[in-house]
Amino acid sequence: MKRPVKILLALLVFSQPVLASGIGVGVSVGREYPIIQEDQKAGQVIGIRARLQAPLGLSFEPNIYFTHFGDPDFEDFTSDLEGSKVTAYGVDVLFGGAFGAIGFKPYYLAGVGVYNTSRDQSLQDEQRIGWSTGLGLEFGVAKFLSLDFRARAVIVPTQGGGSKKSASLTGGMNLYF
Amino acid sequence: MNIFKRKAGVISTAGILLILTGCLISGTFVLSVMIRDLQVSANGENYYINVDITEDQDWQDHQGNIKDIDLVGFELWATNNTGVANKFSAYVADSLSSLDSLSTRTEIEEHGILVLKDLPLKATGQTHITYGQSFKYIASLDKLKELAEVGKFKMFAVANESNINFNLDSVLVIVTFTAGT
Repeated sequence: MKRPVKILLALLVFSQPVLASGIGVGVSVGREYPIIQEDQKAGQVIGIRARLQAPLGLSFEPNIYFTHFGDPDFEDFTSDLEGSKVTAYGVDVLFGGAFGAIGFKPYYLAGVGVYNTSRDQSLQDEQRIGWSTGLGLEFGVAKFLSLDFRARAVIVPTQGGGSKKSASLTGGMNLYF
Repeated sequence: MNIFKRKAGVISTAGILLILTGCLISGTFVLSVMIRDLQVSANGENYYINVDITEDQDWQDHQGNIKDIDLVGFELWATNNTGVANKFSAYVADSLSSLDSLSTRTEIEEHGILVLKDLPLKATGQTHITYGQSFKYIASLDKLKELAEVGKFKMFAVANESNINFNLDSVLVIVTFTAGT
């Protein structure tokens, strides 16, 4: 079994105590935009998540995101540098959202994750803890199904004290059981 | 519940603003310095390149706030003047090193640090190593990062076989760094 899947399952197991009444799964796709990172261009992001309902309108979302940034362009020279790949697995805490309710339901999120950034071409491979926050809008079309749109900003501190930042816009769907 | 919702909204919005504010004062930048007038050493055994990225505007803008050297790469053009395919390597030394354009192959191999190993020289004509290709020839990225952080260093290109006559036409040094306050 692949490592990210194992980690997601582990997060699900350890999140069980906070479960109140519901569980869901979701998937989303979209674009991730590097923020002041000249060595990357916008690329595709795919997210897979579980959603565990908790009291007080909160829910926990163990998730995995796969991002493949686009190849950068430079003004001064022709580059064949490839964009980085980022695999991030973590947990977001959401406040709000549909979770089985019908209609538009906004939500806020904040989370932490492990961000593994690699670029095969230049032998770069780094794993760091990163933070995320964002806003979303969930549209419950049925008790068991919702559409999910979110804007999410990510900051990953680097070893020397700098940071890599990006923002993503994604759309997807959630299934509730 | 509404108060809690408002608080969550404020905290989340503040988080986004905090990240966006951070963006204004930190980022990852790429600078490139083209070196065309390469010096052949007095003894004709190697090429001597004085690399100085401190004149670059990006470097000057962020000097003193550099947090990480992310990547150092090259784009090179070299011409083999013989009909025999060969390879060449590059060594570096810090700007205070006694190595210079008068240094011999033996001195460079003994006192320099090998950073690019076995770059190909095709039998005749010009060989072009792209930025993306250069990474697979890098032998000591840590040393390159260390020198790039200083901004000035000496570089020497030496053919693997001493009887090979080649021209190192030009070298583009490309440095990616993360800077912030």
